[in-house]
Order: sequence, then structure tokens, then C-alpha cells
Amino acid sequence: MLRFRYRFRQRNLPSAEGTGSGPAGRISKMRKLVTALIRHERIEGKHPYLDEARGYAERLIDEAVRNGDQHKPTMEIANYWLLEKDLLHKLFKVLVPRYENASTSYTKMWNLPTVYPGGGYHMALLELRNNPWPDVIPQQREVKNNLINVLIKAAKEDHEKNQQLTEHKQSEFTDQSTDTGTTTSQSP
Amino acid sequence: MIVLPLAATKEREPYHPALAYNVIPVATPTHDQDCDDKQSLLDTIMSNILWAAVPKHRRSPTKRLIRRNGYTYVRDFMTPKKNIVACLECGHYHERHTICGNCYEKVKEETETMREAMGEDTRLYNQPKSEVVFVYENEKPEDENKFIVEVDKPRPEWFSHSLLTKAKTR
Repeated sequence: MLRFRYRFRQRNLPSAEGTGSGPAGRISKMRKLVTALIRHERIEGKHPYLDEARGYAERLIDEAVRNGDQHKPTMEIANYWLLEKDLLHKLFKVLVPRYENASTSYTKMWNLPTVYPGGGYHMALLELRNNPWPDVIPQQREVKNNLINVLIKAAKEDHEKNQQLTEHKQSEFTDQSTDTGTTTSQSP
Repeated sequence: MIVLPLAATKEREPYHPALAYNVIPVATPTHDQDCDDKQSLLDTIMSNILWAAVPKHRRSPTKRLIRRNGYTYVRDFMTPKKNIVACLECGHYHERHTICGNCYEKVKEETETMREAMGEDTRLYNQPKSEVVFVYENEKPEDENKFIVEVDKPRPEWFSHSLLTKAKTR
């Protein structure tokens, strides 16, 4: 089960490993990226390539989490996707316990800042959740006491107060009008 | 089969058959077809000329300039960007959909030192079979079962204390 927003159709990536590498080159590239992700837990690269590899990595971890290392087909899949075999141990002994009770996706993706003039590519960052490296975006500081936020809060309170007052006045006015209406209709 | 005329016979028949050949007659060229083959003098001259492509419409100055200088490049690099925001942590500008470049540089530097502390062999060839925990100076690991990597420096403080303390408390 993929717990992130993924593309409906695959990208063909015709020049994944040089021009004319074709579908075989695409799969080869995907295997290399998945292997690198499991090893380094955080990789940089071109956005479309990483986005494409993300689905394969998620699926691989998901299969491992659900079936365990005693399941033969899962082991075959892991053996195919992980080109370096020391990572098989990592997948089943480190990542499976880490994501056993996960309710979110296993990976996370960020857009890297654009460089000008740059190579004409959108660069991205793909990482496994709960990795040992420092956070990409540090914990946000409390901005409740910033001057602008204090002023906005005060303005909001004022606005709400005024609105309540006007509503109260309007209700009084409408009550009077209805009373007069009934009296005039009854008089003749 | 050749049928001879019956002229030699004494009793001449009023209607005798015509000469016949033992081959199927082939259609001979007619007068009309000869006329079609003839080409006029103008056609013979013009057929040897190769027709060149020539502009059919005049190019307007706008089209001409766009063709020469490009449009997409101008649009991409010279139109003002409206999605630029200031980072809440460091104040550097970055596009709204991206992470802050300045903050990420610090993270990258720190990650590099951590990777060095981990060692090349562990990182590239023998991944540890348990979770990795980085322990800085003056720190103690919480769980001894995990793979502990010691870093020979104090844990970095991402932000100075003066930013976090209120002005009144000084």
C-alpha cells in the first residue's frame, strides 16, 4: 500500500542511462536508486527520477514489513532490487522493525532550491523517515509572540467583538419592526 | 489456319468471308493518343526548373524579433517571481515550494562530518544490522544495543540562544 501521492502513469525515462538505454536502462537506474536510498537513507537527484524510484522503494519496504524474511517471493524481490547484498540484512533487521507500526509513508521527499542558471532540472531530496541524520527542516520556533502575530491577534479579537455588538443591535431592531407590523395589521 | 479466297472457284459466291489471321489483333495507336503525347513548348521549358520554397507571407517585426531572441528564455528568467518567501529560521529567501538553501547547507555540512565519523567501510560495505545512533561529546547513549557512532565534537546548536530569549528577561 502506497501512502503518498503518486503519479498515475509511469515515466518512461528514455535516457535514464544514456540516450537510447530504453526500458532496460530505466529499470537498471531504478534499482541503483533504490539501493542507494536504502544504503544512505538520504539521496539527492533529479526530481522525476527520485519520484519514480520512490514508489519502488516504498513497495519493497512494504512487502518486507508485511511478509517478513521467511517469505520466499519477498526475499526474491529484495534480492532483485538490492544490488548490494549487505543491505538485505539492513532491510529486514533495521527497516522492518522501524516501520512495523507506521501509519504514514516510509519515505519523504523535498524540493531542493533552484539554482540559476542551473542545468534545467528540478532537483529533489529523497529520504527514509526516522533516519539518523539531522532534520532537513529543523523544528519550527514558536512565533506566537512575534509583533505581527500579536497585532493580528488583537485585531481579530476586536473584529469579533464588533461583530457581536452589531448582531445584537440588529436583532433588537428586527424585533421592534415585527412588533409594529403585527400591531398595524391587527388595528383595522 | 488460312482460308484462301474462293476467287478460283467457278461458281462465285456473292458474299465471301474476308481474310483472317491466326493471331489476335493488337490495338493500334489511334489518332487521338498521338495528340496527347505532344507537349507544348512552354511545358518543356518549365519542367526542367526546380521550384524553390519562397515566403508566402510577410513576417511582422514582433515575430521576427521573437524568432531571433527567443521567448521562453525571456519569460523564464526575466519575469519577476511572486513565489519567493523568507525563511522563518534564518531569513534567507527561497521559493515557496523548495526548502531553504542556507539552512540545508548547514544540515549538509553536519551530515558530512557524521558520515566521516561513521567510517567508509561501515557506510559503504557493511551496513550495521541495528539502528545507528550518533553520540556527540559529553553525551551518553540511551540504548546500548544500537550501533553507536561517536563524533568528536559537541552537538551543534543550530540557533543562537540570544534569538530564543526574550528581551525583557535580560
